[in-house]
Amino acid sequence: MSFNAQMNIARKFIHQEPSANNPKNEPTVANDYLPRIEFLNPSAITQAGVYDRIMKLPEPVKPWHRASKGATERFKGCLSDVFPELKELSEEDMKEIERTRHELDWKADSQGSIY
Amino acid sequence: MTGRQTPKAVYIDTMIFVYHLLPSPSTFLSRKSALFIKDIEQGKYIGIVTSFTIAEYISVIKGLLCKKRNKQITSAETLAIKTKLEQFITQMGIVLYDSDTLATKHAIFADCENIIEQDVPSLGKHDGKWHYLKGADALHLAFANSVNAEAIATFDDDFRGVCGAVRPLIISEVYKN
Repeated sequence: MSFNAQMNIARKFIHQEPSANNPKNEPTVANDYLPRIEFLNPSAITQAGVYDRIMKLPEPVKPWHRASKGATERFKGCLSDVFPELKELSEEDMKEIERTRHELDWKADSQGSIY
Repeated sequence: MTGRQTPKAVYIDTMIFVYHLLPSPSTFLSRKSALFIKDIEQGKYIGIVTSFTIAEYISVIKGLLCKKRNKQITSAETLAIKTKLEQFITQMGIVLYDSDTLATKHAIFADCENIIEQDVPSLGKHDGKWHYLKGADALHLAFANSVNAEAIATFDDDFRGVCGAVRPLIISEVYKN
């Protein structure tokens, strides 16, 4: 039974709406052979709370927008504009960062891509 | 029907910014970072960061500059490092969340604990070392989780054993050429 179907039954049950199988709301009798779909699956009640658990995200400090065209290239290596000494960063300096931060197998990479 | 693919919301690891903004175009990770950032520019991904990412970035660059100069960094220089990154985030349309605000709305540190408990350490294929999630990595993941990010873009092998909704997007594997 789909979740929506279960919720529909739950709503009927909670609000005591007449069932399509028993429109006059007559008391059920033994051996009536009618499908007893009024029986409520308890999981429907637990799932109903799902809606209450959805939390709104806080407003971001900077919201999403389309990127400025060419921003990737403009900012590539831009720290050397502020700190010219960073232009002198050697391959070895970069490998050192990679090693310490990521523990990549840099030797394999320098001899040819491992990926 | 051919439609434009829905962009994936991806939390960005700090080191991707470090590799892109440092002048080192020829290194392996810098090239891969540039490819990923280009994809954000083209709308393939929605980039997400928090103020904690900015703090971690400043720490990495400060450390690098101190080593290079062998002297202290001034507060004006620290501000310059931060400003440059914020300009980049703005130009790229990357979503920036305040970590403190997220921490008031979500159980960030309880989530960190769960993330670390569920992490499955793995043995590196190439270096033969064990990789496992560190504290700051778990904090990034908890923030990523709190903003419903689908993945965390990183080079860090420590994220490989992560369990949960936020999946690792290992950039060196996504961009193989």
